[in-house]
Amino acid sequence: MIAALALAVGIALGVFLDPDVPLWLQPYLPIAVIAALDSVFGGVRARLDKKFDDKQFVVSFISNVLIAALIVYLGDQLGVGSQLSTGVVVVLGIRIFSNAAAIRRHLFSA
Amino acid sequence: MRRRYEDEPDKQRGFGPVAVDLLASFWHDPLDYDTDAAKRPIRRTRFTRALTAVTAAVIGFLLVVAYQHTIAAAPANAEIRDQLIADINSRQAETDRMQDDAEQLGEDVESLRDELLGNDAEAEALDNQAALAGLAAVEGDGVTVTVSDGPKPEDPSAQDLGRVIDRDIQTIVNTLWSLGAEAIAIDEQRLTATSAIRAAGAAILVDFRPVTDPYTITAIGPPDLAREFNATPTAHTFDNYSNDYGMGFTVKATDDLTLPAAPAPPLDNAAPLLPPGTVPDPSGSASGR
Repeated sequence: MIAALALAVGIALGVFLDPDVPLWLQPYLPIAVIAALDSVFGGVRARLDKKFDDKQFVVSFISNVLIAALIVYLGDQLGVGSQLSTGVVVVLGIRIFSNAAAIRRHLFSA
Repeated sequence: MRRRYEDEPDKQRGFGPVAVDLLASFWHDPLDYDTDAAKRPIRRTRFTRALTAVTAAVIGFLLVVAYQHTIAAAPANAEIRDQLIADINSRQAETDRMQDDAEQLGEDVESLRDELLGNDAEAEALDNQAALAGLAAVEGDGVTVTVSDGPKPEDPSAQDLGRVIDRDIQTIVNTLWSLGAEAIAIDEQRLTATSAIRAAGAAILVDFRPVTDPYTITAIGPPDLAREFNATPTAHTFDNYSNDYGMGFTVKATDDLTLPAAPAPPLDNAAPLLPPGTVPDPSGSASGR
């Protein structure tokens, strides 16, 4: 409940502050969004499984974003940035879908 | 799927399985929440709850920022494209205007030259040469050859044999030259000795300006040009194209054709010879390249 409220607060902050994204940060934005979505779905799933752990949620979000950013950064340096980005999106995308499937089973038993 | 996973609680971990199992393990083990949560006590303190709230706020913030960033980028792209299109249009209009100016100035130069020469025979000889070179508009009787694309094949992957390509136009033009044509224009584009008819992708360019289907080739030449052209192998070939592939091909003797002048070619390598007595430009802008 608190997390949902905080999410709404973050959205409101983003809408009102309307920050400019620095140029050097822009390549990481899509990856960060995917990692964030992954964390949200993972958190909701764990909550429904009654296994939600604050520490794990926070650490997994931060580490996911950092690792995803690191992979993209390395890929950019090596000249295979788009391919590695695709890899990150595929892996996190699969996780999002399977977490969504678990949530669906919990909510609709289907 | 889920049942199978639960049936194999201690399935093999490690490097063994093939790549498909990698994806499968992503699917079955989406998050680490599952692995040993039972053994590990979950402690929720006020601090960890606050951390979660902060993280959730950061996530929400991130999503909105990304959304707004994407929304902001989309119209910018469209705007840039519109600007480019406007640029192209204005540059084309400017080119046309300058072309008109150049033609006007060319006519001025010609009339001044004729005045200076004061010698009708010499002026006429010059005019004739300019007309032959394609640098002056000409009129006369000749022939109009029209070729157009045949119907597209129903199978989109099949080769479109009825389509007019640059070599078709080249063949017709060369045949007309060989029959003694003195001036030829394609879609109102006059050909000179240095004209190029070539293809760029699907488009046919005459002197780097695109010409479009149907292609009208007008030529001024000897009185029986049309009849002679119809007797050439080229005409037979195109008749066959017309029968076999549906390519449009008509040859018509036409009187009182007017062909426009071609733009004067720019001097890339040669420099005009300065009349004796003039001081050469010290910067050498005309010849020093």
